[in-house]
Amino acid sequence: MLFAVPYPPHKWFRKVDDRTHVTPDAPDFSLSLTTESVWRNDIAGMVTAMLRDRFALSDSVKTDIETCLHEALINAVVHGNLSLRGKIEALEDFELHYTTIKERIGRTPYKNRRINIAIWDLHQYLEINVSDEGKGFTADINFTEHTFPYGRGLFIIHSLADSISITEDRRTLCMRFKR
Amino acid sequence: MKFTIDGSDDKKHIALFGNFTFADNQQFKEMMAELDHDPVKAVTLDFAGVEFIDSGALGMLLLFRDRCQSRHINLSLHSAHGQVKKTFLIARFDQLFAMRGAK
Repeated sequence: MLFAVPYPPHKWFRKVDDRTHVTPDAPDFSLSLTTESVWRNDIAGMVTAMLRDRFALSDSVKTDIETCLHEALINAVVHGNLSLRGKIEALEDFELHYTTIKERIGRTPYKNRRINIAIWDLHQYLEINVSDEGKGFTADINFTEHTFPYGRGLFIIHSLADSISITEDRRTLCMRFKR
Repeated sequence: MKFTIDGSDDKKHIALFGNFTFADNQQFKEMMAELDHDPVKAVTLDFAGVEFIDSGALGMLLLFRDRCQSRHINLSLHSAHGQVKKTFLIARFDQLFAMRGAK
């Protein structure tokens, strides 16, 4: 079951960057979800279907956003709220990750951590922020080891989004897409 | 994700269906295990029925590629289209796999 509640407005940060826009404080759309809700539901598919209808996005832009949002949410669940850090170098490592996810997702402190999605309509762009309550992540967008079976999620996001940035606490990934 | 396996003992055609993501590791492991029983020389992974793929699935494909190389199996990816094809190209899969029939 999907649980969605309004995001507490005091938590929005005001992000000023070197691009055309200053992101306003209040998002046009927000979702605050449990880690389990994100893991068990196709949130990226649902959100991008809504965005396509609301903003008349082309199939190409909608698909790029869905890919990036999916990757950002997986990262927020696995490496953020569930604090999994191990590398995946064999299929057995996928299984171990999966088993650990299932074990942690219903257990304190992991189950109380939330994942927040905020979206701003910036006219030429959509800005989508994905925040988790983990320990923060290190961004490696310069992925060069293309035969490695892990670590390319952020590289894919960087390839598809118009721009990406990470907040100072390293818990929020900000992605902009040209409409 | 679902899959079907057709073909002869030495040439396998594996058709994949649905979304192929991080969560499909168990199905993918079962698919790989199906190949252990036969003297397989060539495997075609058919993506015509796959609409969405993520980085976790790309990782599984790279592990499958390693296993095929160690068993001297020719592996090719067929009929990738849309988001799947675009993601393959971002991940440089055109340089790591034989890709055929991509639309």
